[in-house]
Amino acid sequence: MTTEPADPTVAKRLQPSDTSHVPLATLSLILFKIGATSFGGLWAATQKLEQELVVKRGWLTAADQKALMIAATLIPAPKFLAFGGMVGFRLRRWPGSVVALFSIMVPPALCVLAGAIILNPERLGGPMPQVTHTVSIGVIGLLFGNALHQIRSAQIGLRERILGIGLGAAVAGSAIAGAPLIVSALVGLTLGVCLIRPTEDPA
Amino acid sequence: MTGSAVGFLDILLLIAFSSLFSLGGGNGPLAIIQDRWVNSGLLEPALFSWALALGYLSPGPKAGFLSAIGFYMYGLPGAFAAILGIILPTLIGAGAVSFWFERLQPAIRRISLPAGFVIAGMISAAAWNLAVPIAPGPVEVLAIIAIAIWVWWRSPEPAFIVLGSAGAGLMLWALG
Repeated sequence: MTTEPADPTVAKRLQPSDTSHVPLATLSLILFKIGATSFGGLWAATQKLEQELVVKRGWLTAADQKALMIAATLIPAPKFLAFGGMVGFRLRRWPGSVVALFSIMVPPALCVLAGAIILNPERLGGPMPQVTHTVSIGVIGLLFGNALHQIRSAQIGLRERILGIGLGAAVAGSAIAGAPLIVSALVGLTLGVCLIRPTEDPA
Repeated sequence: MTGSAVGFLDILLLIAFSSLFSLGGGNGPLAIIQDRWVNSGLLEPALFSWALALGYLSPGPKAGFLSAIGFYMYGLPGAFAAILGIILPTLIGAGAVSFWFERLQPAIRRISLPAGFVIAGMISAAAWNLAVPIAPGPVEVLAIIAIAIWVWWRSPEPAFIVLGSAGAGLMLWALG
């Protein structure tokens, strides 16, 4: 959840830059490399991104990178992917964005696909049923932890936080009780927009 | 692998729609997939968990798990549909935010705050519905609680949790 204030300098840094000389093949190669070697999500990859895009290539300044990372949180898409799309857009507009998105997505997609084909729990015997079971337990714990983390990361006042927790619990409860999840989520979102407002900045 | 009740276009559209629930970094797509395909019996819970686990173990964006979901639903074309489904809305979003950042930011900021809580609720429901068919025993429930608190408190790298869980499974199997 972002609580960054509106910043006109960020908007300027998102505009396509005069770097149309960047070949699409090079853009693809660099973003493929980033996608293939970064672990832990966008924030964990900050240094690697800076090294590749700012220091080695000079495609962005450090401030540009920060602006793109902030803007990426505004796109309803995985942040890492959104960041890649914005880098591509800034360097080569729509073609750059398409190339960047596919390039950054190909490594994880292929890794997962290979894992799904080779390590198919339905086909493999031996320890796979037991491993699948314990991995499911781990994934369930991760999901609950992610939900808690999502609540914790909201930078808002106590009243709004309590309202938000109630809202999240209501969405979860109604979905578990059998209400369509999408309906629960949309109703929750509408109520949330009416009830939960950003904390005013002291400045 | 699951049935062919779901086709290329179904996968593309559902994934594209589910990406709307990624606002602010939340993993809403997994909740939507769980609700539409796992709860309805089209995708086995074990395969869904397995796809998520593979996604956590892979480099790059965690959305990589969608390729396995698409593969389980409709083979290789399904995997491509899933990737296309997450890339298309991202492409549109990247372009729109690049052009209209100042105009969009206040509205998106307004939605992002409640969206975080709603997505937390959606993820909790997905986790709950994933747990029901597994019917975890008391020790496993304690393990789930411990992992959830650890993730909430320390934000460990998810790959470690997946590898640890797989290691525990191997040990239990070896011990018979």
